[in-house]
Amino acid sequence: MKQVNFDQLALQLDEVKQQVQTKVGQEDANYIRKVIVWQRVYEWSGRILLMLGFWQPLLWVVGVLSLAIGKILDNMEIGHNVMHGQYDWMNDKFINSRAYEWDIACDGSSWNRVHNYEHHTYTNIIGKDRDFGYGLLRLSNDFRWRVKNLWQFITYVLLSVLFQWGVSYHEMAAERVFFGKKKDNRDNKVSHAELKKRFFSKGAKQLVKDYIIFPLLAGPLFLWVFCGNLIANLLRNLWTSTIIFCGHFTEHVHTFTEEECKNESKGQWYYRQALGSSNLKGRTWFHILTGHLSFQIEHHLFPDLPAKRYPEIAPKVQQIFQQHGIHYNTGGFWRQYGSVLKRIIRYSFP
Amino acid sequence: MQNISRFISKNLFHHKDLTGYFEPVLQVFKPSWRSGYFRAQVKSIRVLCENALKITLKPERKWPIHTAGQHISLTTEQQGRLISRVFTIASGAKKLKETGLIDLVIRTHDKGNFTPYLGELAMNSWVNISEPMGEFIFDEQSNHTTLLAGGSGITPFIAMLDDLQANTQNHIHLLYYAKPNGHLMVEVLEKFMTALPNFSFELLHRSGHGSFTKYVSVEHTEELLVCGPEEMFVEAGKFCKSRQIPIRAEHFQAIRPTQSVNEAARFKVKLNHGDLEVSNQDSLLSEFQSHNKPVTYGCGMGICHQCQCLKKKGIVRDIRDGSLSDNSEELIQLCVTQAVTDLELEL
Ligand code: FES
Repeated sequence: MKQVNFDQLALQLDEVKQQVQTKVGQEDANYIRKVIVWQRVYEWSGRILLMLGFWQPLLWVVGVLSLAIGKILDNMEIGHNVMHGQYDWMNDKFINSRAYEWDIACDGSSWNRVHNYEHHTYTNIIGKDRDFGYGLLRLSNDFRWRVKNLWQFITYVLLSVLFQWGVSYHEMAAERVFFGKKKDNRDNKVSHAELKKRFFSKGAKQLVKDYIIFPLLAGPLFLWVFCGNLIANLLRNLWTSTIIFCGHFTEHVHTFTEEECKNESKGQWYYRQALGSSNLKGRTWFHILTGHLSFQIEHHLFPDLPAKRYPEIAPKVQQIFQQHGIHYNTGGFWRQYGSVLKRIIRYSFP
Repeated sequence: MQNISRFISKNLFHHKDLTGYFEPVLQVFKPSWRSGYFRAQVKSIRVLCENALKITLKPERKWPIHTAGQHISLTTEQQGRLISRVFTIASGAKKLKETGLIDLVIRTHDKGNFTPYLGELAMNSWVNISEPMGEFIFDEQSNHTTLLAGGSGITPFIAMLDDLQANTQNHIHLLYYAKPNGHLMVEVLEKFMTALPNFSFELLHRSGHGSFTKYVSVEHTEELLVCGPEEMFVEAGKFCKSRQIPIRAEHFQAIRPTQSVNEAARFKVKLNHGDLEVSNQDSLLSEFQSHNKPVTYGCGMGICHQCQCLKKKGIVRDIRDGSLSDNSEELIQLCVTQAVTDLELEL
């Protein structure tokens, strides 16, 4: 690791957190409830408009978009953030990381266990953070090149299309659960049988809901609703996959070895989070739809701070990074996304 | 019907119950509407003395009528956080039937997490209340009753006296302990004395008058009703046992840290599977691990929330910033908290 005054870095970032934490309160509670209200509005307007497609196909298109926005809000700004524990302090029976379950194929508690622990604790440590490339893509020289990497761009496109299923499969460490692959130093906190049960039960619920029950409720408009749900899910998958890839796999994102991170101090942990993530510039609506993961750096530094506070602390974080000579990886959507695609293609080859 | 709604909710709305899914939407039309709670509107807030408030609430129509002496849990949103406390209702059912209102008399504590904010509640704003609870009610069959109150423990007796008919044959004597000049609602007690010919009361304070035992007329006490602090409750229990007087009591133990967090101490932790004793010098997670308690955890540094559990009761200290938690139900992270009082946890 580079020579940075890690103790000072930790002190400065802790102070940023402390300052914003004293402000967290009514405004944040009102905000998340407001987002939930809008999510319900988008979801239900979408579901109703899908059925009006037989009368005016344009309404169906609006319905698909509205449902997709509802699903994106549920997945990103609500589900992801609430399940991170960002709103646990509210003491709300439903808006907390223990109770919240999102509208995607991946079972919330399995995601919570792997994402919040493995990914957020061991961010970009090769061999410990399974999220780096999801075991499917070679995104750095830390991984040996294999022939299958030649067509990893197609793998990436397929993963994005089926992202909710990919996440679900990945979070349960399916290669171990289904195919018995062994990994050292991993204790199974949840049994394989339990993981399989959660995978199938949540997945089945999602399939039955979107592709059987809601279409059946529409009667003769079965197909309109079936196809609408399919496209809305597809749009949500593409969006979340793209945003998440932009947060971790842009060109300048660093990886770390287990050796480098042994006995890491708080400052070194912050440093790793800083270099393991990248931000996206955009307008407020864009940040909301990304669940504020467009501030992936701030999210990785302070994962349980209400995400709506990230834009407020970003300039302070950037200033601190500058002072320590740490690269603050940010850029517009197309630039960052372009560099993700470049990285996927670059590492397709030896 | 409930089962069908739960099934639909779980499978179509990925929520434990439907009300949870729609709650934020319903709140747009009905402020503070919460599943599992009743709503009540703040109708007046009156400062009784330096550290006591009288709050008058108008519960929504479907709230069940209480019996004098019962208590409720009052939940308010303070800085976005829902906090609940239990209070005895300080008015009778008669008043509720006539006016639709109930009174709460609340001692405020400057450093508390809840009561200092109650005075800031806006008029006509909404709070949440539970259904009335408790068995501490007046027995009209008894002919001679002695009431023993301490501090804000006067509230259930005010409610009971409020509901008594003027022609009651019951002889009631109230011994009311509080700090000098700290007795609450004395003018109300005086009114009761005029309205109820068989009612009398004495205002006492511990430093000047000593123990209540010398003021209880054993031959004129068929039953002793006690509402006050823990020590009063314990003393009354012993007294009644020795004199064979039936006793009924209500007391709410205020849980506060008993010693400085720097002093080593051990506290009891009640778990859903067995109890244990922990030190206040280490994190709860380390303590549980050293006792071989099966506990889920991850990062051990407060990031991943894997060690999170529900604290039902007690106060914990956040190791990261030294802040103390509230005493009520909330989620805590075992790896970054230490016990400051006895605790009750659900792992
Ligand atoms: S173990 Fe990660 S927050 Fe406690």
